[in-house]
Amino acid sequence: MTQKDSSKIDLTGVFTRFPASSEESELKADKTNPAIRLYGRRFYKDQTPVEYLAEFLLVFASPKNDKNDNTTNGTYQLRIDTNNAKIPRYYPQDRVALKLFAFFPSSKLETRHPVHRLAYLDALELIKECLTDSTDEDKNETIRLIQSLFNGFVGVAKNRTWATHSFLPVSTVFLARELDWLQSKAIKDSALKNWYDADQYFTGDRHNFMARGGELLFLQLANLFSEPDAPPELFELCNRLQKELYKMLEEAIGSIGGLVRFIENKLEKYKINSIKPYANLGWVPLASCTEALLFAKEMDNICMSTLGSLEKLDLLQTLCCMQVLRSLCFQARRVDNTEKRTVGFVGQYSWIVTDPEAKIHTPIHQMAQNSFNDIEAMLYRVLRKKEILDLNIKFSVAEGDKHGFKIFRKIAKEIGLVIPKTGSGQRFTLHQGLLRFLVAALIKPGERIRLTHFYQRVFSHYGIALGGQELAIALAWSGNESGGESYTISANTAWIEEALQQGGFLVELSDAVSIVHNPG
Amino acid sequence: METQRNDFIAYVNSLHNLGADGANALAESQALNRYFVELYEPFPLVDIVVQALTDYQDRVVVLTGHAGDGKSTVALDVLKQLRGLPANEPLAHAVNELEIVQWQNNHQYKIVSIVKDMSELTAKTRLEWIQKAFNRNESGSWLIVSNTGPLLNTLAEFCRHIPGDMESQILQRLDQSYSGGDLDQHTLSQFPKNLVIFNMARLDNIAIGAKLLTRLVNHSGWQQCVGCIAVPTCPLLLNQQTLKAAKVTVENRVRWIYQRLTTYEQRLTLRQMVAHLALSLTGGMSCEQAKQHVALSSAEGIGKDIDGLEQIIFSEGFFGYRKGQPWREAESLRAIALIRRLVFGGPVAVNFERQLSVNTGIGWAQLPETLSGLNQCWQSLASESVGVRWRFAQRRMIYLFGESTPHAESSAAIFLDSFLQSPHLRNFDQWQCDGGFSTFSATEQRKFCKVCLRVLLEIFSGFSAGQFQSYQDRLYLTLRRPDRAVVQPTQLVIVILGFHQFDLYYDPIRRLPLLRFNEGKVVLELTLPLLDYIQRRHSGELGSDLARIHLAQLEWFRSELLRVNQKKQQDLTEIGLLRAGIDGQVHFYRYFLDEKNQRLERE
Repeated sequence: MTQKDSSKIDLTGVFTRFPASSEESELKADKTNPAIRLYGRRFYKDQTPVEYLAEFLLVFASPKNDKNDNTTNGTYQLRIDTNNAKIPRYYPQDRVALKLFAFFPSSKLETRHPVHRLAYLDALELIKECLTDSTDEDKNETIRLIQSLFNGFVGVAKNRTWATHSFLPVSTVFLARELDWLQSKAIKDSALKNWYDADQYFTGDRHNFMARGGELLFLQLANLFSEPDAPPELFELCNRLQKELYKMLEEAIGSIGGLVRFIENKLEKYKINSIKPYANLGWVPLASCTEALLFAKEMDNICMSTLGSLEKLDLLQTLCCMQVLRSLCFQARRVDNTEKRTVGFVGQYSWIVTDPEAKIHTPIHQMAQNSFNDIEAMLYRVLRKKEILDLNIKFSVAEGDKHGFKIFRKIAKEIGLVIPKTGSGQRFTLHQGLLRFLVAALIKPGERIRLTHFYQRVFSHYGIALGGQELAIALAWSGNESGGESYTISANTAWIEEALQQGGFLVELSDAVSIVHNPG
Repeated sequence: METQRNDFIAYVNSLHNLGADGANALAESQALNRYFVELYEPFPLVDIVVQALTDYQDRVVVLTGHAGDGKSTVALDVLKQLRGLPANEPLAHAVNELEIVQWQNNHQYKIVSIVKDMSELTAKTRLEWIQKAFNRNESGSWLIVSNTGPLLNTLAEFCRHIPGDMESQILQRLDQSYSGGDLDQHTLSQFPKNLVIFNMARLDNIAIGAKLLTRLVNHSGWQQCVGCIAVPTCPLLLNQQTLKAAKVTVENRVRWIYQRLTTYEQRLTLRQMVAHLALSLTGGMSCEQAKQHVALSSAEGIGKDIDGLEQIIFSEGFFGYRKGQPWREAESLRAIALIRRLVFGGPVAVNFERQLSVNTGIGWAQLPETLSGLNQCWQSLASESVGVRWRFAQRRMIYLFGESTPHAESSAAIFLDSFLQSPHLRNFDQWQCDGGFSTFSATEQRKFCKVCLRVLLEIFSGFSAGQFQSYQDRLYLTLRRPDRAVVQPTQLVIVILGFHQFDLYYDPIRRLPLLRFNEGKVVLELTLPLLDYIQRRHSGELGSDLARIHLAQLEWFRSELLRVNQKKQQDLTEIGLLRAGIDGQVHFYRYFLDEKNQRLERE
């Protein structure tokens, strides 16, 4: 079932980068930060789940060069041109006028700069000019209606000021790059009189929230699909994904697109000139195309379903988070030579999940807890391996943790894969929403498979051990080889079956044969 | 007169596995039993299988299902029909693993092979037989009875070389319910011979199950009691006579409970129902124990009847109780374990409660004469301060045996619906029996359709029905974020559908009412939990939670409605907004966007 991985690991493949041109644009952090060296540029702990998806879709939907022709400028493309030595880049929108109109009135008071207040009031007047309502009161009502509508699609607001709010990425018109407003600097500048003076205090290159995690996910797919000798199936998969993602972004929200364009056209003068119109893409390890293939296949299943676009986007958000977690473990496992192999899962690691209601001293609770600890230990360990550090350069392990180790715990907790959010006894689990996601991602729409096959698929894509054979393999990987068999017997999967049944995905046929059905 | 032993009681007790004598639970032994023939209610499926096996085409028919669903019984009946044996006589000898029948009628001659239970064979033999069955060079049809697991494994092995996703297709056929009609939905034609799959676990067995009670009660086996000394006070006979007196009432009430379990909890197999009914009928008491009880009872006169009947009365045993106390041993029966989860018999309303403890009768219900003594006894016990359990027992008795008195139908309806914890169960059951909306007039259908749509409007928009105008007759499908992380007081309306575009329709094949859009372009299956949920939500009952499975179904209905009503690009200039005002009232706003001239007009 398992065998010791005694061979010495070959790290050349692990450190080869995609695109190759990224070597020339190497930043300092690419050398000094062990997490970036290992995982690519980059994951960062402050990026929220919405922003992973938003950034991924932003790169996908943005032009990849400055040509005006949509067919050749790489808009809505998952492939990038790697033939020339140029650094690949994309040209994202900042949507500053839209954010001013939608988010300024709900932004924190102390972060609203007087020049922006003036600009906002002026913007309202500009919009009012185009409204045909008879009275000023009616016009104000219309404006409040539109603002309230847009506010319903806020992605992340938190305590940030209006410019740094983000939209839920439900349409191309809501995709925007990160924009930071340097309030503390601007407030000291007494010379600021109007919007244009304040231009210099906007920045677009901080990558604090749109921290390149989405870019990295995009590059994983670009790596997979840009291979000139890729088999035709991969070519078809890429085209299908591009088409479906495009459809989702363009058609999902009907007339809202027109409304956004209307607002943006009217507020055309509120733009920022100080920011470069493009953003350079980072790089990913070339070896990541294995997990990228799983990512693409799962995305395909979600996109091909008959669900509403907003539901699909919700699932894609979970998919992006799961892909981040999976990428961290896959890549860490490539440089970690102390563990064993897992038959049936290419990632060579495992996550053992428990019933969220399981009592604290039950074996499965303990196993899930140990499993989480093992994974964290691995992610911690690899960032300190001398093989990945360039010993000639001063490196920062603390920075590495922020860009690698700490992300796993944070994202896993945010999506509910690890509980509890605070306190001890952290362990892997699956709630109803994640099971729904696994069904949507791993089973083709309309397909029916046996429950045991579903367990195998969950294991072969994510290394998640739900029971039976997979649990035995997972336990052996964790090093509990001796007790494996007896634990397997005591692990009860009734909770998963019940949760699947409640979601309407499990059909009990007869004689202990159940099928899992993705209704599409 | 002398005491005598009734073998039929022993047979009934052998149908449940409470004691050690559960020998007659299997079809193979039933087939040889003389009592079984009279008890047996033939499956309509038998004729369909016989026809599929004997018409001009060679087929492989597979019967699968849960243990106890009646697969073997159907196969035995098919065998009898093919051999021309009378259906009402037991078989003379046990059935072989493989029975080959040379069937012929006036025009046709055909070889039919019947595999009694493929799961009992080794994996190698299973594959060999399947290969033989599908072999085009060997003419004839096959009937294969098998458990699902081994069947799937063997079929997967057999169709390894057949292109296409066979397993998913086989699983789809296994998931198909059968209620008449043609075989196409059950047939897979990619094999050398057509494969027809019937999954008996998908067959509706509620009506058959309830009928079994009547057959048990009216069975000629009870005749053996004639002349027994214990007759006047024998608890077993008193129980049987009470059930006989309640006639069809009790069969209906039993069917409703099975309906409730099947639609809300889990489906019972026929064997589980038989066991449940057999146990409720005898209370696990043997003929000897009954006689002993009569002999040892210290009570006199009418008290003697009450004493015996109280021990094993059907209305207690059926719900898993004895004298108002939970009957622990009986919980090993699946049906009782499921029934106990629902706690039947809770208080209905104050006026009903008052009727329980007064001597002037129990309101709407009339009980069989045989129960009057026991009822009076329980009435006096129930009026005591510690009489809660007796009141529960009384309500169970009234539910099962109480026949509605004239002019009290509405009280009866309230009691029954409340007891069943489902406002639409009785309608639903009646529709299934009649194959249509027999209890709903056209106006009522229209009215209920509107109720459904108003509840959908609430669920889809997140606003409560009270926030809309009372004359609201449109369903708004809005753009709502699925994560619900932010309140959306203003929502973009994507599609507006008039209530008149929807109707209610009863589908006799699916045996379900459907909410149809544009005469079936999109349909929503109104299963019983969904119907009940809609009714409760409409009557303003808070906390009536809908299981996720049904919410997912409603979501699917919504996305299908959106899909078929997808707007064309040119219609996107119209912007509809739904907004809850400061007073909570929801208003609809319509704007037109003139992108060319940069104007936004309010209608």
